[in-house]
Amino acid sequence: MSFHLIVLVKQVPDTSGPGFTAALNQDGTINRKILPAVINREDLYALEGALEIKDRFPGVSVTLLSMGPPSALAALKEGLCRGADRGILVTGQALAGSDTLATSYVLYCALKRLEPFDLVFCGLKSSDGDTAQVGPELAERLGINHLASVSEIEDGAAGFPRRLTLRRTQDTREERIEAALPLLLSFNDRGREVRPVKARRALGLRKAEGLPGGGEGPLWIWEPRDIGADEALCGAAGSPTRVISSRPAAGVSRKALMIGETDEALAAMAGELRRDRLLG
Amino acid sequence: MDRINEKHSVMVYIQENQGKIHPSSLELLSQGRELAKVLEAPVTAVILGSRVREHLNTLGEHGADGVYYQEDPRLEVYGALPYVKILDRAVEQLEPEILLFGATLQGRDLAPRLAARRRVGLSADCTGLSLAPYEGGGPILFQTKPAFGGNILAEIVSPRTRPQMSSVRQGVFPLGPPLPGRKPAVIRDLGVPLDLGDFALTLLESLPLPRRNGLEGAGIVVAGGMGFQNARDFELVYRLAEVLKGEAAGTRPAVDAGFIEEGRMVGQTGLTVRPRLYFACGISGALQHRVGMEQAERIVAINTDPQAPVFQLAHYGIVGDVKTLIPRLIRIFSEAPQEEK
Repeated sequence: MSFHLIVLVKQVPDTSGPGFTAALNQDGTINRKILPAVINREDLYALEGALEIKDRFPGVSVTLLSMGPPSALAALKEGLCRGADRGILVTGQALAGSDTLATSYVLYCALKRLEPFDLVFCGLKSSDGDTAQVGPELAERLGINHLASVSEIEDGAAGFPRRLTLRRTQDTREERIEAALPLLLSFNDRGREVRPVKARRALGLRKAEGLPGGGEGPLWIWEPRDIGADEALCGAAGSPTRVISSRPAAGVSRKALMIGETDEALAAMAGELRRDRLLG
Repeated sequence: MDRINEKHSVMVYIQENQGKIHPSSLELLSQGRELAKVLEAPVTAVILGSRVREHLNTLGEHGADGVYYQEDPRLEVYGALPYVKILDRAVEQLEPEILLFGATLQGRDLAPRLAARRRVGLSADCTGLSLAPYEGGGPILFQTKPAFGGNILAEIVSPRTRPQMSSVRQGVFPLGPPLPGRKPAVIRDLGVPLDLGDFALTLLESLPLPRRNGLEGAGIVVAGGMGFQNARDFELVYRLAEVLKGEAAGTRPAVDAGFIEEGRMVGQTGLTVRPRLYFACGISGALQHRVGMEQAERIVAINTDPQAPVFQLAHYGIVGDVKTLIPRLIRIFSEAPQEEK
């Protein structure tokens, strides 16, 4: 028997580092060029979930699927170095400006070409767009059930490939849920450690380039026509939402009342906080 | 109101968990009323669950003109398939102009699946909603959405598709007072037939959410950054927090340096806190930290660098070394308040 797991990955700018302030443009856009590009954190937890199943069951292959600019090949290479078997980038001018609904359409078309598959894994949300919408939208298009905000596959995925026991975070409780496959699972940020990049594999892939269509190598590049995607449903044209403006969050700006370093000044401040009932 | 036009309403999805209506749902009903006034449209509410009939009048008191429900013991556990099926039918019948969800985990799970089924636009986790004319047409919904950890605000519209869908962050809109005795003009059982295939998941166990520390919801927070040289000095943060009966917190670099555990991290990749009093000790005030604490009611900052950005954010600024200043603050705050009354 062979089984096929799909992991959706998105390359995002790393906004956790100190360079972020410098990368924030006046007009509210991000200068992505000066920020390191990384795999979205929650996608790594999704990949880890898939690789754990691959570790435990024979005949499991893991395919990474990403939509993005050609530079996103780097994210796929990283995923391959962590243990995935194959990476596919869907790219093209026609995809620029896609909102979540258009993105889910493009991913749907790519998944149709990748059939059959047993499970689709993704991160709950991306750190840049922060919508958490692509997973459920894609599951709907595929006509399969989904569980969002999964933190863990339990019992060593014992019921695979028929069913899984999952831990899901809800608003007022945690749930242990048994669900039948096929399924799309989106993983939240409560994931555990992810396995490191294998240095040997990284070396081998350093010069690898994506090959069009479905070649022999582990990296493929597909354009919309390769997956039969209707360009009217992709990119800005296929997106029902429109971003009409974007600006840096105003944030608070005030001038602190500077307190001298004397005991009297500090005590006066403490008195003021007490008077304003801010202390316990 | 005796009769209403049930169509083209401002519709709110009401989330019910274990017998309680989620607070974000009632906030949205209040805001829904404001939007509906501009549109001269009714406000409708949809509630699904295993025991929801007891809530129908509450929804009227909070502003719903039409209340639509489906009660079924199998809806006790949230599952995307049956919930989307019912909502999809409600949207088909009632053709709402706007459809709002709380940006809860459930709302952000259900709304996109419904949006994909209807092929309509949806914006996530909005912090602002308003109506304004668009390209010469009538008023449409302008949705403010934070991105990049709240550093950027985008203004989003869905001009072509209906309903215009948003999930809205809790606490953005104030909860209006209920009008006791106000009854919905329409109460209707949606009665959407469900079959076995819709219930593809089984709840094995329901557990309380893992307990977090008291940082979220704390009235006083004392946070430390890289102004501390080592973990021993960082103890001062905990001591000041203890004296003030508050909670200790740290910046990302302080967590990475091992001064404080990750669960106490405030900022973009950690928690967002809104205490009434926040002490930023040895914290420069980088954007990533700022987004997690700038909504504090009063901020006191201590830093050796008078140019540190944190002083553009704090109400009180003290230039100096945390290592000498915090022990003095601890002494001052420990002293019994004088000349009070």
